Amino acid sequence: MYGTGLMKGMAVVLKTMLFKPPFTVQYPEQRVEPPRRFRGASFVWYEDRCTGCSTCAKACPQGNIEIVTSAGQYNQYFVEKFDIDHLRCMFCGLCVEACPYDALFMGGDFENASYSRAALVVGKKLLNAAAPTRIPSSYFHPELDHIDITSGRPVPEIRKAEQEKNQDIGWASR
Amino acid sequence: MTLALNAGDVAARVRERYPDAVLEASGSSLLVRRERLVEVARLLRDTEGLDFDYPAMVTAIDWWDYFEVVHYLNSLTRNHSLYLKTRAYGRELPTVPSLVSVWRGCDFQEREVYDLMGIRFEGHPNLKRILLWDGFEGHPLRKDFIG
Amino acid sequence: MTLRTDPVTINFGPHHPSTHGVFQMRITADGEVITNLEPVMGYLHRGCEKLSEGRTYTQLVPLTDRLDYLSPMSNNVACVLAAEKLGEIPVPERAQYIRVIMAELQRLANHGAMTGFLLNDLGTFFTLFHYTMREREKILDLFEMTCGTRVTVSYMRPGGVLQDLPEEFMPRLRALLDELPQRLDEYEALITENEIVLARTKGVGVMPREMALAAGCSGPMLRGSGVKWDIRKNDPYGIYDRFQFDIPVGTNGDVYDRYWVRIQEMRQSVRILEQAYRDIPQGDVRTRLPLFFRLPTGEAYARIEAPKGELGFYLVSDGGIAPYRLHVRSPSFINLGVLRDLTVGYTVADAVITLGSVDIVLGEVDR
Repeated sequence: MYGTGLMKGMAVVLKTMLFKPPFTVQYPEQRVEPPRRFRGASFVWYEDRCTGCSTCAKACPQGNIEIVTSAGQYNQYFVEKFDIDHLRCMFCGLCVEACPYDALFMGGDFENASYSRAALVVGKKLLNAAAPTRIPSSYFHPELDHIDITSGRPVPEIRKAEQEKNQDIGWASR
Repeated sequence: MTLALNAGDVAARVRERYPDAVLEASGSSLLVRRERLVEVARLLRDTEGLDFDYPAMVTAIDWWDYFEVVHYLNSLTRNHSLYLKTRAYGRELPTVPSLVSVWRGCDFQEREVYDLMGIRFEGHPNLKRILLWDGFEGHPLRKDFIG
Repeated sequence: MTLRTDPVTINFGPHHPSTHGVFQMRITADGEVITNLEPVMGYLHRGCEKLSEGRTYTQLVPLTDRLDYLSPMSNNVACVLAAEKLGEIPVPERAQYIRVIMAELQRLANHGAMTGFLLNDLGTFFTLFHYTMREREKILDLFEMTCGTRVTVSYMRPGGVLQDLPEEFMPRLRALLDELPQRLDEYEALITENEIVLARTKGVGVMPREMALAAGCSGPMLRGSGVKWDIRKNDPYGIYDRFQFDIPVGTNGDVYDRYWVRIQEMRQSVRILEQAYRDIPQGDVRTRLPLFFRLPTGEAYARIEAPKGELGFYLVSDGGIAPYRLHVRSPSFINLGVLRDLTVGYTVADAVITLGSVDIVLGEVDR
């Protein structure tokens, strides 16, 4: 009979309309937490671990990371400048993957609009100030997958706590 | 599994009809004299046992001395493949014959190669730029292009 | 009384919602019947092939996300396959399974979006579209939890995948797999027997088998016209030869058949996913390579059955850390070659749904 197909479709629509809760959320009021591995804008950089080797800058497809180092007295480098240009960054995460010293992490922030272009070139000072409070993403660092993100503790501390916890449990029970 | 045909065997079959057509046959790629390209392509399409009915890809490579136009051909009925290559010399106006009359699927791809690599396809019905605009100067995929 | 009419030229696009991006059709119409159609493209040309000549093989992967932005996972797979083929890089077993899972999830997401768009073009504004987007969202959630982003995934690497799946991935995948067949039934209830859809799509944009072959069409375009050709079966890459699935084939080659092939392919994808879910082993996911590794001199063409058709990466290396030449054989670009023949003789409204059934993504057409 002509029209049965239509009625079938209408039944699906009605069923979805009446019996299914809405799938969307009202964004600015309601928020969905991004997963732990989210590759977000707020990079987390630990100066004490960074050796200024510039591997991240070489790995960056866009050439966004600018590093200037000076040689120290005892055969080491001081990182003078560490600028990440968020304007051209596409958040591919290759810099984090390349870092041999676990000094650079992606962050969990996704609201990165700014009123000025200059503010989007994030330098050493800002990164240093933010490092203790920001929670690093576990992108390319799966060992951070299960860290309590609400505690907001920085990685070295969390890692230490994790290690202690692991020692408590012991390898046999894992 | 798609069988990559041995180019030597194909070359032997091509030489039966066109003794001067094949310049080189190595691996699975058949390098053909430019003037004979259309005839060889027709032969590959129509010969029983070769049946290349599907033009999978057309592209070109800039090797500085010459441009190499690569046709990757498939036969869906026999499930085998072959690279058909030809060379165009000169940087001003390199020219190769168009294969649109053999496989119509080459149409857009040859226009793309013309657009980005600057190789003229003789006998193409509508050879004009496809991705870039008409007034664009130069051909970006050439190695000497400075953008 | 007869009216004298002149042919009218319509600039359809580039800013028109039915062109699925910045694509332009220059239509010459006699009354409502199309007499000529010229596709105009290039508005989104970013020069990916040229850009890739200055990037290492790992850095290529983020570029490929931006080609077909409705199925970035498939693009990633094709790109790294080319590098692996040329360098003979081994891929661990688990990584192969993860690739299959990701590629098939991507196919589901892409075909879902395409079906929704097609119905939009038909005038069913956003009913089915919202349903398919809902399922696509769940798939993108899986991607996000695995690699950090929803669309620009950059997940594959030469020699495996970036990192292992998170713990909660498998339960979520299980829940999705349990849900999907039911959802596919819902889509079909909405479209497959709907009289209006049938009246609009049957016998429209008919492509004969011979034309599909000679024009180099691939994917659902080719199978809708009755050619049984699926690279996963006919030229298996990765571990696709281990999976049991069928190739749905259309008969008439019209818009309806192309839609039907896609819906059936989604069911087959669920089948593949079930097998991959069952068989996935534990183990390593990545062969470690140097940051800037070199590939031997030579050429390689790797192709996969992307959701839109045969996606091929033709890689020429001169032994350096970056490709000497990289050509992307993009399926939607080549499928567009037949658009003129499919639309001439039909009305303008039919051209819209024919274009919808080709399933183009302009990021891939223009590269």
